[in-house]
Amino acid sequence: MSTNGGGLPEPAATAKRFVDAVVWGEHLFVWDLLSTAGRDTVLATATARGMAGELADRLRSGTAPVDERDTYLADLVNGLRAELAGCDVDHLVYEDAGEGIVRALTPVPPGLGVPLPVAVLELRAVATRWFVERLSAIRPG
Amino acid sequence: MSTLVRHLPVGVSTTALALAWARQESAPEGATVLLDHEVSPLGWRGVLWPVEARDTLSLAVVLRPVLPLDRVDVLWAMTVAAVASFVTGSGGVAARTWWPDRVIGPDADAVAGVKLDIVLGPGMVRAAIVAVRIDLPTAGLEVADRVSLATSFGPALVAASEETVTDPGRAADGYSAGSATVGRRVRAVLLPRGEARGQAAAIDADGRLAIASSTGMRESLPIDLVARVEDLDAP
Repeated sequence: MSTNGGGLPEPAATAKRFVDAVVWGEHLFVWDLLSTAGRDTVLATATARGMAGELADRLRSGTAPVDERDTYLADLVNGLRAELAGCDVDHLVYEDAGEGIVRALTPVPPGLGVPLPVAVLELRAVATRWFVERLSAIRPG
Repeated sequence: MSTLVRHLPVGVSTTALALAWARQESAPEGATVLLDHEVSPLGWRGVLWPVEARDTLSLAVVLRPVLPLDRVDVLWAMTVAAVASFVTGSGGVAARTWWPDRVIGPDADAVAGVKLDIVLGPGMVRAAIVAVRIDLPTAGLEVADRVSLATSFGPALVAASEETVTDPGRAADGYSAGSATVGRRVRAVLLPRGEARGQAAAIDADGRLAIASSTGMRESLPIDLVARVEDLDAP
């Protein structure tokens, strides 16, 4: 299924909301849309790059002071933006591939073929909501 | 004509001439080079000034601000604000600034563009060469007044530069108040790649563009990191 806009199936709608939040720097929405496993993954990456474990614990538990939280989330948003750099984010089409996998496709000019995948988002349903676990950019070649 | 203004009929670049004057003859602050026909009017990021030479006021002014190196970006904000104020104060259109290098009129038409070249000394700014191109008809100014405009612009820019150094907070308030960028939703295309989006919130005391998201994330963009700034609220 390939749709865009208001009629998206829910995983694709959540994926679109996540990408839009990244693009627009809506750092709290980005954090809110990440699943627990997704948060663990990004915090593990940050810790491996030198973030103090105590800070990671505060962020994970939601007890970090606002300054600490905002500084980290700004870095996270900019890291995710770097993943999406070069994508025409205003014209992405979100395709629900089932089992929580959503592909972000970029249209190509007419006659040059089908839309090209530029990123894959893995989502997980928890209770009544979908959350993003991972965003992986697809690099040409 | 003032000894601080060198008026030439043609030259490659006002910046090159002012830079040579500053370096080789110790040009004083406010020294101004005016060209009737500038062969290579390159602006920020090497963009060619698109207006015909006969309609353009092309000049470059030597400044010698006492500024630390980490504040040099403020000279861009100061210059576009000074140009907008000068255009309006000279009887032209109600001009505002578009961060970092443009002055625009009421219809968002480009009225002027600026470009700065900074000459660095040890730990300080030795000189700043401020190139300004004003589209005189669009600015509502008389082409015939080119020389008198050039003569009065240098002192106005020097005064603005002094305020930037002595009262940076007040100067920054003026940059934001006179900016058409502030308040708009913008897309900043970054170098070497990527972008930042949000609502332009302010021009800060260091001349950086602060943008904020709906969740309060605030980013402060230095000029060197930005390739261009697009207005996403433009019709």
